[in-house]
Amino acid sequence: MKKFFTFFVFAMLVAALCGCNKTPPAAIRELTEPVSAYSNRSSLLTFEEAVSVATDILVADFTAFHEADDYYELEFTVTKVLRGETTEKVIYVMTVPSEVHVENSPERSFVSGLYNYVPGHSYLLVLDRRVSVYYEHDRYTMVGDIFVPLDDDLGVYMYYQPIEDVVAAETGTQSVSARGLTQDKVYDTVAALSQKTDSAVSYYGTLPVRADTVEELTACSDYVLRVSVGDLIADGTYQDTKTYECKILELLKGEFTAEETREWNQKIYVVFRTEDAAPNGEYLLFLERADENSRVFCYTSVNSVHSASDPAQMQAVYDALASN
Amino acid sequence: MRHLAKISGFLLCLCMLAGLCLSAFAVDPVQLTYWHSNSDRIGKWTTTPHIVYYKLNSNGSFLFSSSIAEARTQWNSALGLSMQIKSAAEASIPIYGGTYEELQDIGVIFIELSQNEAGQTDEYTEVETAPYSWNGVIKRSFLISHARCSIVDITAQIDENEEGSSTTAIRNRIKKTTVHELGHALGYYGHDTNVSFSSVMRQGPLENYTLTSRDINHLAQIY
Repeated sequence: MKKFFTFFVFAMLVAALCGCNKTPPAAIRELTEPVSAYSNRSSLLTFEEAVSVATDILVADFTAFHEADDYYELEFTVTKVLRGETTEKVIYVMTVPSEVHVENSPERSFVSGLYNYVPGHSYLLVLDRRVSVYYEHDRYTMVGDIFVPLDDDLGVYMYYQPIEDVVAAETGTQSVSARGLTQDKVYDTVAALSQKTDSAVSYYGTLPVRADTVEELTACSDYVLRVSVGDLIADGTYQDTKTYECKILELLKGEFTAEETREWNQKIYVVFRTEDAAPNGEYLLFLERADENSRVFCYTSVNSVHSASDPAQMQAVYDALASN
Repeated sequence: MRHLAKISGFLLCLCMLAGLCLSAFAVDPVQLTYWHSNSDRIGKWTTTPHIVYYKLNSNGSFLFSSSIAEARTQWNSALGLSMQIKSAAEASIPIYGGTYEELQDIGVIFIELSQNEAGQTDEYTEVETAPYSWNGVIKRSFLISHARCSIVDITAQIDENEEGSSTTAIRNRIKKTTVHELGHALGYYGHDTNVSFSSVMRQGPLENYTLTSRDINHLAQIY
């Protein structure tokens, strides 16, 4: 009797402890690390909005999972393009786990982790494509965190909630259409909506220019500068870059407003790939502004950084500028 | 004799284990008086942090420096701190102000483009310490030694999307975001979700940038 009682107490304790950890549904992967990123949104997209703003809608097989310090990359092999200009066979979808809070809708707040993608299985992906000279490959993000498995009967999710709940929250009712959103139906709906391309945006960011010679680089760059590298301003969390404050030693192409000249004291912020620059180094740079009025300057091409101590190279720039 | 030593050792271990268990259950978490957040976490700095900030553009409408000054002054007063603007080497809270493109190009944010976020705080360096309790609920506690804030220059965005938005409203919202994000960096995790109050630590495009008693009480009780 005593033994039974001891076992009973132990079993109750184990059950209570296990009960403390809410087990996520099979579609959602449990995060191994606690989330330390927070995101505030004034509202969430509806299902239709998410599909309409996506740059790319694809069918793809999940192949691999890559883990970086602050984000994850999911590798997919594309089998069908429903919308977009994706030509790559292999794409990478980036996700940053974070605690997302929604203004006036705390019931819809969620911890964005990862869906449980199975290698070799097929998925419908609703994506945004981003390009940058600093990325190893184009980056895609999930619009609306929509999860549509095509090989598994796990249901459809949006913002880590079953799509039925999302649609019900949007319409305020548990409508028949919400309850009837099967994976097939969602696929058909998305496929039909994919044909609508109201938005002309096919990607976000700036496509790097392919320029092999100093002449080509000079022609396609808004700014050509000789600089010395100063203090580190920012260590890139989501890309392998370092942004340094750089002192302009020579402005060979481009111009600054009087206000910029006065306020910045000939110092700008240049985003370097980590291996391209070192503090106190002098470089010849081919750049463009990150945005209008920006103090941040980015590469025009992957080969935008050159040594400033090569007289032949400097002469080539002078010649290129003279001939323009 | 050897058996006796073994038994004594076993009993000693048992006593130590029991002692540990008892001490774990005996220490009651410090009770908090206020809780105005939807997170179960709260943090504080052991020493006053200093700020370094970088305005990433020359947009004259984006009053980033004055927003930083506002945020620093208010939180210094609320928490009895003496945060100052220092060089990068001496500061533990870097704050970046720029457009989405600028913040993304320097690699400090990466967010879904349709989110329309006005700010972000991340890159915490923190150590978990003894928890607090509020209303019988355990609240996890952290000691912070580094955090990073990003403030989005929403001036152009508002001009495009919201006709009639006054310059004052835009400036107030940027100030609110800056005070709000610095609050996160100082340990106010999560948000005040009570819509009956105009707390700065509520989320959304709100214009009140003056800390309310709810904002202050939540953090000041542990500083």
